[in-house]
Amino acid sequence: MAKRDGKVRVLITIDDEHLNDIDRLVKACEKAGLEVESSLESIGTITGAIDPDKLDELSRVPGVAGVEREGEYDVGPPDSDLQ
Amino acid sequence: MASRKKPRASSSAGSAGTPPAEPPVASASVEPTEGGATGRYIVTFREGSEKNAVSLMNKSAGIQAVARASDFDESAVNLESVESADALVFDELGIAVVRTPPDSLNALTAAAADADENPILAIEPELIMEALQDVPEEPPAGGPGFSLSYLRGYRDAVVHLYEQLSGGLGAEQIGAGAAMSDTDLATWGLAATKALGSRFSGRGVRVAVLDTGLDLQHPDFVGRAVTSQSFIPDEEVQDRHGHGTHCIGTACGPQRPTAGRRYGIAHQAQIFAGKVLRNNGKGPDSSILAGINWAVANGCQVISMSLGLQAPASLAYEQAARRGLAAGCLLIAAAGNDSRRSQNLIRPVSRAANCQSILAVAAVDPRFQVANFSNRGTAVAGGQVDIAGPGVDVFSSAPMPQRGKVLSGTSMATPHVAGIAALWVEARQVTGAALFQVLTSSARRLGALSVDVGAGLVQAP
Repeated sequence: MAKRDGKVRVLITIDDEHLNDIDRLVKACEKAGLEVESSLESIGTITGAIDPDKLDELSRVPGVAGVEREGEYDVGPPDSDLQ
Repeated sequence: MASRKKPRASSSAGSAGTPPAEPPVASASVEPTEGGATGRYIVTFREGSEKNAVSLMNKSAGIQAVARASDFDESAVNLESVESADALVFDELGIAVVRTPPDSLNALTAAAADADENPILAIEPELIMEALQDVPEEPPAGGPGFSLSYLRGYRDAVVHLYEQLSGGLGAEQIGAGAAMSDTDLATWGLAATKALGSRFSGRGVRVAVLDTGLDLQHPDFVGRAVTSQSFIPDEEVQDRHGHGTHCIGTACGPQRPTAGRRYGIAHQAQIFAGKVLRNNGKGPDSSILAGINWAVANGCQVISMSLGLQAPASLAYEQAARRGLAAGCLLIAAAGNDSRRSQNLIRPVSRAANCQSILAVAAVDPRFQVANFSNRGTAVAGGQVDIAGPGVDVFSSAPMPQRGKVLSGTSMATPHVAGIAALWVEARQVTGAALFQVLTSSARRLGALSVDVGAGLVQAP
């Protein structure tokens, strides 16, 4: 899902070794160009938006296990019989 | 957005990042013998004949020292502590694991066959099963063990052979009986899963349903413990779609609804209603992950997600689910509705159910056949269907003034499994990976292929 400013929304998975260091990792991701939306400590995920050109740099941040583009779910409109 | 949530301090099941506790699989301390067997035997009792069976084991096979799983704290049997016992009886499952020489086993088999009403259904060698997190796709090279996927593949091959030899009778016909239907008392799904007769209510168990929210004014939820949170900017928890209210109704609806038949399972569970889908039914990964984080931080033992997206498995969900399991939280997700089997269109299990650590739920109809729309498991690790729930013509709650309505989908099957999971948490004090194992091992086998329905139809304790 692209934002109007050309940034893409991403999900960043933190590796096990950096789970207790999420605040520092958030700063490192910001430095790599991530506009942080939330950091989810219980599951070790950071969400946010970033310029597509900076995705490589973000995925090289120590402690980042993976960077994925965000998807959108749809259970159908309220009047659908199949949900 | 629920940012920077602290994990619940009282979480005792281990911190995130540590491996899940070993599930209660009876294999750890015994050296395998020929063919992957442990040297012990599994004795399956006829329903209601447990006392007769134990007495018969004593008289004919000299099995004296009997330990009971229900005597252990949290029913978490430590096999090392029952090494001295001849038999370990799992009351909830109606089975015993016995250690006895082959000749006395033969005496037991003979005595059982002679009994007026044989209290023993089957005696089988106990095989080695791998723990949930480590089930390899192929048996280990050179090892005698059979992986679970190998055994399932074998079963499917036999069913396939039957189909070929029986002149085209569909495999799904096996075991298919008359169609179930709702009664004045309850929905067909509650009867088929034995939730209706269960003495458990999910009391003390926290069940999170991540969906379109809940009709907080619905009369069937008045007086219930409801914790709610919206992860959708600019939208309240109040459900203006209906999907969330329907799903919460199935998982946690009341024992006695204000009108009509019973449709809810864990009627004393604490409800955590997380709004992660907008009122138009759509929602992004970031909202869903924020909802999972909230549910894990709040110690919800069961997290139900009736949502799916045709996309490859996601590392973010797998890690979230794995860390959830380690904290005692089981994620349960819909396999998805993208198939149209009547038109030979069969699609793979959706994200997020296609993660290895998430319990993937298919839908069956009132004849116990896989639903036309229900997606199929793939060979990719984690891409399997794990279990099935009632997902066709499901009646549950709807936002007022409609009160209730009938819907179909794997979205409806999923909260059946979630509600029943809450009953198992209460009954056996199992969570996380052990809960995953209990749900699949207690499921009712169906004629349908395991790629379509996994272990079978979910069953309440």
